Amino acid sequence: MVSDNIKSDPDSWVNRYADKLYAYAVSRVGSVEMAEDMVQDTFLAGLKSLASFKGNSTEYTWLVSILKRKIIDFYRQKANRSTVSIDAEETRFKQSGSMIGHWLKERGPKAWDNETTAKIENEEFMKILNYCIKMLPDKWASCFILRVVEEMPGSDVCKELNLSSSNLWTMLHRARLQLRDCMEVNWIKN
Amino acid sequence: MNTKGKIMISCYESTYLISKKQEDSLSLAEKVQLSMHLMFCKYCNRFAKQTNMITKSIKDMNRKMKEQSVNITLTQDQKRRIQNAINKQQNNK
Repeated sequence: MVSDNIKSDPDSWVNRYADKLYAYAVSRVGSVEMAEDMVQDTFLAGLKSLASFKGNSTEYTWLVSILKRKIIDFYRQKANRSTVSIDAEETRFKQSGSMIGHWLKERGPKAWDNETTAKIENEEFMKILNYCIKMLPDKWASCFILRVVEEMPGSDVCKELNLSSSNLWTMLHRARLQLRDCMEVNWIKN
Repeated sequence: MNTKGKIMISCYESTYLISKKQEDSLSLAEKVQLSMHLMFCKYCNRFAKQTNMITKSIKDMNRKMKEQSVNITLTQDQKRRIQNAINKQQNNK
């Protein structure tokens, strides 16, 4: 009596979805090899959990949700591997005296002139921004990418990376200090 | 970072609040602390402006990338490899 019209057809997956999933993954992990592996893993995980595909969503949406999970796992592992801890406070701010915690004069943000601001559409700017994000220590990068780039809710990022919310603010603070410095050094002086 | 009870905050604290403000709303006390600090600190004003610009650029970049990424495709070889992996797993069942 139950009609089984909710069908999933794994034999057609590669033809129908591989390119789309691949593009999605590349734009999020920035590595073509990693993206290829993720697409394959997504299909394999899909095969295993075929039974859980209820047909409430399209097959594609369902596969994307599996891929998203893989992307989060990728950043979580990256964050866990990372042991780098550079103290943002020490390198940029005064460590003693009445102005403790204030910018060291030579490390204070320099003015980016108007011309610079107008170049926001510039490809070079975007290239350097991507480079600077990649240069962040893994742990900060994972926080920053999941929260700011992926726009995942902060509470979810905390859960995935096993951080308290104040940990997360600290990581993002450090990532932003670092990112701004990197942009100033690599782009503004160009 | 806890800035409770302070009237004057340091640049380290101010940049923390600037960063936090991009993610979450600040408490009233934090807002007052930050705006008082920004009244006289040119470095932190620059930090705020530049950091906002970086965040905005990332959002713009994402939007653009989501539109453009459709052009990235796998090669036939890569697809064959993936298909083989799928077949292998299906045959193992």
